[in-house]
This record gives sequence, C-alpha cells and structure tokens, in this order.
Amino acid sequence: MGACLHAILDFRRRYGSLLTGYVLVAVAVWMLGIIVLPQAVMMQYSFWRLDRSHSAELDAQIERLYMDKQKIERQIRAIERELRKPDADAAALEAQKVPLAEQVAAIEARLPEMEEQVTRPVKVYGVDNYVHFLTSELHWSIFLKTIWASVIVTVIAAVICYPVAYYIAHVASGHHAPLLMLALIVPYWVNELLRTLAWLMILSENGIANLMLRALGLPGVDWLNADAGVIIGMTYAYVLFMIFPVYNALETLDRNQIEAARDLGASWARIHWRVIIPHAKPGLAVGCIMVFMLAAGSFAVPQILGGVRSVWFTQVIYSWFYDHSNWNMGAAYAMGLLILCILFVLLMMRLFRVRLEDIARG
Amino acid sequence: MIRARGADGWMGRILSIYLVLFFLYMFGPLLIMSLAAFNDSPYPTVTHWQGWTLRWFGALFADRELWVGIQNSLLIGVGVMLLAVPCGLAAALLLTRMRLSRTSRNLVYGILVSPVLAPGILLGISTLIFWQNFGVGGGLLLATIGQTSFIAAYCMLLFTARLQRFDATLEEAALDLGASHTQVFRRIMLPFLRPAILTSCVLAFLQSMENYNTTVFAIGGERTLMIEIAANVRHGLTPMVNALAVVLIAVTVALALAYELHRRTELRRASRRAAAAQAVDLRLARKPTLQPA
Repeated sequence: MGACLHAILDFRRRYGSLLTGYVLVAVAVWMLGIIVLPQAVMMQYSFWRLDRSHSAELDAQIERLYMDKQKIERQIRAIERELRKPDADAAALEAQKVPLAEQVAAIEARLPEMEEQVTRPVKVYGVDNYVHFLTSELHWSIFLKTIWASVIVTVIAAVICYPVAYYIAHVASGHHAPLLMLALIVPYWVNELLRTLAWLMILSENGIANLMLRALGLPGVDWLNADAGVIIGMTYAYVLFMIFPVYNALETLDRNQIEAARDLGASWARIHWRVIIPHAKPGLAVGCIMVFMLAAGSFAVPQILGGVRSVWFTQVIYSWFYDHSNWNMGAAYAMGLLILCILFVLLMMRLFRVRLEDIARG
Repeated sequence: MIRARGADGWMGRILSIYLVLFFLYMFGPLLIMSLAAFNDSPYPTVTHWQGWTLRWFGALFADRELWVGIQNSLLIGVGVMLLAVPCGLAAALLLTRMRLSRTSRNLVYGILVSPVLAPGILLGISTLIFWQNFGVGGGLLLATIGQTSFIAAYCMLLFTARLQRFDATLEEAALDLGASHTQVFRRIMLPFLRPAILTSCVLAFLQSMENYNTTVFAIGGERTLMIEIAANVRHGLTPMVNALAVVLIAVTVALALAYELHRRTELRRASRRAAAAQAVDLRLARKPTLQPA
C-alpha cells in the first residue's frame, strides 16, 4: 500500500497533478465502476431472492383485522346511539367508548405497514437460487449440453486451424503469407450475426446442404431443429479466433529446428508432434480459451440457428431476465457461466502449462 | 503453385488442397448469402432462383426501424469512443509509466483485461444489475458503459504497445529545459501518441457498432443495428437482411484493403528511412574526420 502511494507521488513529480489526477480517476472509473463493482453486485444479487410466499397469509391477516375493525366500529356506533338517548348515562358510556376507540386506532396503525409488505416482498438471503439451478433437471442438462458443445467446437476449431496456421507461417512464401492473412481478416471482421445468417440459409429445409444430400440420394436432414445446426454455426463463427493466436505462436518457431529434425530422419508426423506443436502451445491455449468462451457465451448463434427444441444456456439466462423478471435467478445462472469459464481457463493453463501472462499477451 | 518450404512432396500437395478447401469454407457461405440479396424471392434462398432484382436494396432505405437502429448504433459508437479511449490511455500510462511493483501491475492488468476474455453477456448482465440500483434502466447509456468495459481494454493494449517505444529521456530533457508538465504532455507525449489515438478511436467505434452479446442484455427496449438484424432474422426474414449483409461485407472489404494499403505504405516508408539512414552512415564512415598527427 505504501509502495503504491510512493509510486503515485513519483508519477506526480514527473507528470504533474493534472495528469496524475486524470490517470487515477479514469482507471478507477473503469476498473471499479465498470468492471469490479458491477460484477460484485451481480454476485450479491445471486445470493438473495424475493419471497412472496408469506403474502397469502398476510392477506388473510389483513382481512381479519378489517373485520375486527368493523365489528368494533359497530360497537362504537351502538354506544353513540345510546348516548343520544335522553336518559343516557354519558360518563359510563364514554368510558366504554375509549378502549374501543383505542383498539380501532391500534388496528389502523398496523394496517398500512402490513399492506405495504404484501406488495413489497421480503428479501431472503441464501443459496436458494443456486439450489434451484443445480436441482432443475432441464436447466442442468442444458448447461451440460452447452459445455459439451463448446468443447466440441473448440476441438474442431483447433484441428481445422492448425494446418492453415502452419501453412501461412512456414509453407507459404514471403509474398503470399500477408495476402493470405488479409484474406482471412475479411471474414473475421464480418459480424457473427451475418455469418450465422449465411448458415441459416445453407441449413434450411431447401438449402444447399439438403440439396446436395438429396442429389446424392440421401434424405434431407432437419439441421435447424436439432443441436447440430448450432454447433456447425458456432464452429464457422469462431474458427478464425483460433487461427491468429496459433499463427503468432508458430511464426516464432525457428525453421532451422524443422530442417534439423527432417535431416535427422524424422517423419512429418513426428516433427509436428515433438517440435512444432509444443512450440505452438501458448497460441493453442489462447485460441482454445477464446473459442470456448465465445461458444459457451454465444447468444446470437443459438437464437438464429436453434429451433424450438434446441434451447441453450444463454437463452435460459436471457429468459430469467426478460421473461420472468427474476434478476436474482438470472444472476445466479450467470455466475454459473462465469465459474465455468474461470474453471476452463485454469484447466487450459494446467493442460498447456502456460502462465496467465502468456495468455493475456496473446 | 506455392513452393513448399516447411513441407515437401505429398504433404505439401495435401496442404495446398486443404488450404483451398478452407478458403472455400470461409468464403462460400458469405458468397451464397450475398447472392441471395439479388434473388427476386420473398425468402432468402439461392436454390429457388426467381430472377435478378435490386429491390431488396431499395427496401433497405425504406425501412424506418433500421435507420433508427443505425442512429442508435452511431450514438453508442461515439459514446464508447469518448469513454474507452481516455480510459485505455490512462490505464496504459499507469501501467507503463508508473513505478508499481510487479504484483500490483499484474493485478491491475489482469482486472482490466478480464472483460475481453469474459463472455459478452456477463458484461451486459452485470452492467444492467449494477445500474438498476441507481434507478437507471437498460438503454443506450447502459449499452455504452457495458461495451466500454472490454473495448477500453483493446485501446489500452494499443496504447501500451505504442508507449513501449517511447523514449522517456525526451520528457526529462524537456523538463530540464523548463517546460511545464502540461507542455511536456501536449508537445511531446500527445503527438507521439497520435497514431495510436486515431487507431484506438476507429477500433473502438467499429467494435461498438458490431457488438451484439453485451448490447442485447444492456439495451433494454431500445434497438441498435445489430439488434435490428437479429430481430429481422427471427421474425419476418426477407432478403433485405441479405442486402444489408452485402453492404456491410463491402464496407468490411474496403476497410481491410485500406488497412492493408496503409500497412504497406508504412512499411515502404520505414524501409526508405532505414535505407537513407544507412546511406548517411556509409558516407560518414568513408570520410575520416580526424587525421592522426
């Protein structure tokens, strides 16, 4: 803490108060106000829920109180009728009225608070939201499906991309490599929504995929009402996120190592397995993390390519917010997704033996 | 074809064929989607061709909701630019120029870069929940803030890359010569950062325009261009969306070409500068300055 203060003062000496103020305020606003606090509040939201279960009982209680009040008011009116009679015993009757009036006042004091409680439910803290998530068979199976599909997409992307990245890094000549990369940037920059729309056309009932199948004599497949369409769409949308990190990692490999291995008689399979792929590990780790995160958190692709029978976890989260207005449950489910992503990053770091700095730089 | 260097013989041939297939895989769907924009059919398709037409492009201009979406996207884009670039710059200055300990620097860097890795929907959700406590509902402002969380990180990375090559002795020399702090910043640091600032602005704007996941959770009931596209695709899909796709792809290709041209001119300028410097060195080496007595 003292070291931070020292660093800030040293910065102020070199750059002046104005710049120091700007730097500290801007970073604080971004780091705390936009990143940390919202995440903390989301986490806090996941640990409480609004309890409306007592409201039926409260309603009954309020009913009874109203009836009691009416009964007492009838008694008061009866006493007042007595008072108006000519031979009334005023003092005794007044004495009877006072406690009754007090009871009415007491009831009237309690009623507003109770009525407010019925319309404003009570915050209950606990892990109920998470319990609901973990015990809901439907949602849990959707969650598992999302994990499984994301893994499949990641593996397919890695397998497809590696030869391309290797080609551009080591096989293509110096002139062609930048052109090839440029050619890849164009679909990379085209928005995910539009690229998914392209597959909506291809995979539709009379789209190109079924056309080709039927030309081969095979029956058409209903891609869009099953999970297959979403997986195909996700692969196409995210495959390029794997190429660039892997290419960056492969580019730093000294070609002499490959030539040396070749000279020593290694087969190409061995060279890739023992020399090239180990060198590409940081790039592969970054690529796998990015593709998995994108697939697990993918919202547009399931929305467009998923059918009625194909519901995905991000859609479940969305419906908690916008269909059921249960932000607490939605926050808990979102935390589930966040925890999954963190676990995956840790797993990748362990598997590929890379440190956090390598990932962040890639 | 391309002479194989990291591969020979049959492996080189297989790789070349694989590359061709891969590029077909990448560009094929985009071509199909673009073709359907010209098909005179009420539903996007290329298999049932009903004649060439440009009417879907006309429909684009007539769609009011689309233009409202575009307007909102532009507003958010400018907002993100105005918020993300200063934040990214501040963070870059803090990380490169402040003498923090290694752990502090890694911690700050890790926190600031985490939104890039996190799924976009989580950023939208956390923004939505956080601001609800202040009575601010989903809308353009929240979408701007949500997008800034990760776009500022990209800006920060651009600025740190640029600042790594900054010569701090220039600043110290200016201070020694009596310049005030604001003068040093305005006359030395800012001009040096200008290319990075421009690139950051463009990058922030473009990333904001094309963002969907974070926006869809933070936007409440408003619409942006991307949300309009998604809504169109899910309800009442017509080739008008394909026409829009053609326009956006054309813009993307133009931007990519412009970027490549810019990169090549930069390279040529840099190599010319290096060659000129070398020539000067050679001339100085040939002419001895002092003759030993």
